[in-house]
Amino acid sequence: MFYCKIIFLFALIFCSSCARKSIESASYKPSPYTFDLEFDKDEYNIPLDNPMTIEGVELGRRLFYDNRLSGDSLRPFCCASCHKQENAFECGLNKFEDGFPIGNSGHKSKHVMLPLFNLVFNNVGYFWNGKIDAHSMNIESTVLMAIKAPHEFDSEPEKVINLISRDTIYQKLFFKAFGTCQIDIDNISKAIAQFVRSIVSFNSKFDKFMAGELELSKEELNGFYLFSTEKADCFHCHGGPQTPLWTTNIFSNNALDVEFDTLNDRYSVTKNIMDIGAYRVPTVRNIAFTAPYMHDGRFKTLDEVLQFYNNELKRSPFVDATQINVNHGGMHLTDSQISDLKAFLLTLSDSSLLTNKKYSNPW
Amino acid sequence: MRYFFILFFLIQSNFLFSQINLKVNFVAHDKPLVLDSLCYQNALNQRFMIADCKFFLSDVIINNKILVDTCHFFDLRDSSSHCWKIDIKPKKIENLSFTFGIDNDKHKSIKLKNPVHSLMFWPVVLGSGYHYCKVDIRFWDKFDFLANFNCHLGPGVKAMQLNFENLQSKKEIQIDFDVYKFLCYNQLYDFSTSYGIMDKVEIMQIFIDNLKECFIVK
Repeated sequence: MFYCKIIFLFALIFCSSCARKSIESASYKPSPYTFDLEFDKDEYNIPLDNPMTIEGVELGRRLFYDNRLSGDSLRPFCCASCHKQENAFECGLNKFEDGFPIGNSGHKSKHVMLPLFNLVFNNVGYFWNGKIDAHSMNIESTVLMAIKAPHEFDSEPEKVINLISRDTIYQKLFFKAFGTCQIDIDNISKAIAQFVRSIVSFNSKFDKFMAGELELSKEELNGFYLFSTEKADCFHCHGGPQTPLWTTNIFSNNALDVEFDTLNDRYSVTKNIMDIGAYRVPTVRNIAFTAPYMHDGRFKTLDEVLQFYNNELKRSPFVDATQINVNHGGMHLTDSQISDLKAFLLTLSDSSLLTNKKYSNPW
Repeated sequence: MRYFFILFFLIQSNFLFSQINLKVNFVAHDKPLVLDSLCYQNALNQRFMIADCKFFLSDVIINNKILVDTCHFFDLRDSSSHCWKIDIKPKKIENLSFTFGIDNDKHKSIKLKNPVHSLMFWPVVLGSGYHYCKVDIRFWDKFDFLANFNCHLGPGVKAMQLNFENLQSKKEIQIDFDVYKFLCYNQLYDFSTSYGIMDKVEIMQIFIDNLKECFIVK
């Protein structure tokens, strides 16, 4: 009986080795992933050691939606647990009442989420305070951080690799993407980063207006005018048609408070006193889908945000010098102008992002 | 040894240098500019601090003929931007001219999504293109609060060409840009008149006119 067991064990190892060899003997020919967008190549933030391929993006999509990424089949958790496609890949207010995600350990995140789209064009850095540098750390490093963080996956890379490696489909997918059946945290991170970079959104009503495909209403056009002049003065931070991300990707103190949490703001990264109370300027593209608003999610509706910018700006020595409306407490627009501004902001909604099958759950 | 002498000769004769450096020093009152300090005051007794200064220079003409048909972005807070390396090789620079700001038609670009370009675009509804400059200050207003004033110039006014004669430079041109003079020289402006001036051509022109006194080539 003992010898039978030994023979069976060797047979098992042999078969497993054959399976891997048969996968690896197949040719490794990944196809480059391309974007159907008229942007310069040097605008894309794609690391040289992780070029985007169709196979890499597909693998990343599966991992993004795979609950085994928690490393514990009894505690399923994955990127998509919080990054919901129906909320432009943030969690919104449906899953968590206040918009603060709660991780697999039950720990609550310190900030509300930022949406995950058009990150491939961000050359500045990620997170509200930009602590993930876009060049030396990049999106890849956020995957390992998410796996370990108690307010996210609350797991260990070894557990994740162990669970994922049991699925022979993944061995094939990893080979197709990276030329190896070896599953490690580096390639898991790279694949998810490729998928995240593939998520782009440029199909809003305003995009169609700029392409000459449709007209905007009088109210929407007036809102665009207010947005783009110093009357409402949104454009200095949130950009305009020439900055199609609808953010300048800067960090700014937007007159939200007079006292500041310096442990998590931009100052915590740069130690520059003028960065106290400064946070990333989020995109206003798809703003209708990305409530709650501000880094601490204090505003649950777009109306509350507009009310704040209209009448409730607070003076402090750290307010961004480009914020001229803070001098008199806000924009002081009329109700009609606020309504127009909101109408314009809603033209930046790209609902196709929420249903695009390229980004949806493949399982 | 022979090659060493040849190399030495080439270096001495400027043969190997195909660049000149156009270096901008940010000054105020002829002294190095102090950022974020309420140490400046205009003739209207408005105390102010300089928070930011960014601008484009473009279309350099050297010795009346060499045209550098590009532009450069200078950012006070980024010292790596203060030197514009220009790929030309004049033996001697006798005169120089450049444009403060950029011609929008000539310098069309789609590199607008990240800083610096995303910071400098000029809104479509105001004419499109780029800001020529952004100078942001904080000043004590009449209510004893620190108020913001944004001196942003762009396509609403004509970009100014500045000329400098009788230069004797070889490889590096040092230019002082006096931000204090830009804000407070001949044509005095009350900062509380209007906190933003992008749609006010007559006010933008005040600062364009001040520019004549702001650049000193050393």
